[in-house]
Amino acid sequence: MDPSKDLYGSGNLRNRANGPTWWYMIFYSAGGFTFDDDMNPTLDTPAGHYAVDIYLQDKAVAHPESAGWGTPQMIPRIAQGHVVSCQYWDGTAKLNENPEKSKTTGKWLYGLVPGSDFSGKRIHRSISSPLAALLINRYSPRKAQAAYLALWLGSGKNSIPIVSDPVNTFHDVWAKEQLSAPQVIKAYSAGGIKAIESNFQVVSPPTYLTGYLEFQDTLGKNLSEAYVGQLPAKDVLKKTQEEWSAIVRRIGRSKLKEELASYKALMPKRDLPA
Amino acid sequence: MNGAAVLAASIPLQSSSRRLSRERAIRRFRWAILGPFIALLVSVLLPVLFLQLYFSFHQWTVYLGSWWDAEYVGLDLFREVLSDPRFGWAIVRSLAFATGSTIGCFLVGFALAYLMHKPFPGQALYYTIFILPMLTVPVVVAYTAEMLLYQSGPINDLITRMTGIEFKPMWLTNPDIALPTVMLLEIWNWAPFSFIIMLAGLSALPKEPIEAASILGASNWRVFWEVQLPLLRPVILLALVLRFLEAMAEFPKTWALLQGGPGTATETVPVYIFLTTWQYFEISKGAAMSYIVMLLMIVVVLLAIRLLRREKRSLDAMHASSAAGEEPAP
Repeated sequence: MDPSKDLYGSGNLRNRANGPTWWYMIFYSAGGFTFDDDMNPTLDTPAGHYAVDIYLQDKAVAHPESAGWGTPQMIPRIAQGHVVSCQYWDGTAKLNENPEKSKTTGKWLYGLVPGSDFSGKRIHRSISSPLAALLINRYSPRKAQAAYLALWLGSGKNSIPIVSDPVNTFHDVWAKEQLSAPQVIKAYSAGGIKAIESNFQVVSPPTYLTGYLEFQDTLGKNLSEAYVGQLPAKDVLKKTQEEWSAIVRRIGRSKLKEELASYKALMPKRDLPA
Repeated sequence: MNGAAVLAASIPLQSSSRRLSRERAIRRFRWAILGPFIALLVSVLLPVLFLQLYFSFHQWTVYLGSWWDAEYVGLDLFREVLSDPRFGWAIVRSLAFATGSTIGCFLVGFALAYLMHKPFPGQALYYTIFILPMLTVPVVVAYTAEMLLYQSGPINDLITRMTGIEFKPMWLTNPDIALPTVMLLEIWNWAPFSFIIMLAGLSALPKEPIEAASILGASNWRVFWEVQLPLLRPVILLALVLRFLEAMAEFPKTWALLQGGPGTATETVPVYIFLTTWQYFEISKGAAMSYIVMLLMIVVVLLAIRLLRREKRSLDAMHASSAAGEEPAP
């Protein structure tokens, strides 16, 4: 890291809107989970505090303005070589490997997200936030047509040009046939595709419940306050947990308990990729 | 009584009836112009206000089904909002933001208006340049400012080169200066509004008191401070109040730039109401918050109207006494 040359150790996002995504990865890999079976938030735990510590330690090696930077600010910095490492997100690899837009083409190494031994065993957790999908409105008068359109868009023939476009699209590959398509491998680099494949095996959701926006913003607000020094680190999770409890009461505990099963079912079954 | 006396007696009656008929015609004309706008405002705004009033007394979120089945909770929501420290801090931030940007807009706008109020060559060009910021879409202002205000961006670089001192504040990511930074952008964006109002006020000032003061040997400063400024008080008050109300409602720049961050440094009332209503889906709590803020603004407006009426009375008294050739009352 050399700030005089505008080179920083970390390009992870730490702004209020996106920071929670990175926090979840650390929290899950430390063996943590957001709620117990009675929908009581379980953030204020050793795993939670470990995640907050790791999250805040990033500040020492991040650009001083990272507290206000989102994707449009950070991804170009990664591609232009002002960042040594990051837990990357959609669109980064394609831009990095595009020689017309990037100064770092061919210079990146891609791999599995860092894991943690905090729980007593090695766990890796990447995140898909939120789970991206094409949704059909059940009340639509043209459900069938919408479903066919979604299937058509998701077919290899139509989706491969979308996910391999190095400039005009953002979302990364998701389907098996995309991962082996030559134009996709060229856009992401062989190492990038291999990394995506391994991270897919340990991908987890954020708080996949009704109230996702409330949970996300509350956590993001408190993490951001701690990151800029407005809130002591030790108070982040206690405050978040109290606010999450109020959200649970407002939405309805029984309703959320029903949804908890779906949320847990989405968590990966393995701690390490095969 | 001779014919001339009869004629003289009938003239006041005729002018009085003509005056009444003229006043009626003016009133009809006013209603003919204003009527459609008032009808539109009433038909669009009133239902929304009533619906919001309903929500502020009934607990409803989008998770609870039909809104007409919402439970009546009386003043509970208002109590919840008034005891919410996050709302209290949002009000404090909004008041600080609105006060600072109102004063800033007024000072810049008045200075520009004072420079421009007497004709000079190229005045129209300068007028156009000065009002251009007001014509820029606030979100565009926000995104452009974001690029200009990077720590290693052009603004800091320019100031460093001009002063020779390394100048590298983090305008948007230092929580201590993020809100003042948005305030500066607001001043840049809306000073032309104050400029237009003050220019109109300066142009409408009567020339006689100013000329009389100059002839009597008053310096330019005394003419400005003791003659022009008192006459401009109603216009100044109007400019301040209008700007203050708009600044309290500022949302596009704050949200586009910082979404209430870093931390909660720029979480003003509009941002918190937006988060509460459209991210947390607490429609009822958002409605209660909006009503509380509206009542606060109504108090400000009523105070301003009271002050304006007092100013108008003192100006009218001054005009009346100067017309009668007397010394105006203090």
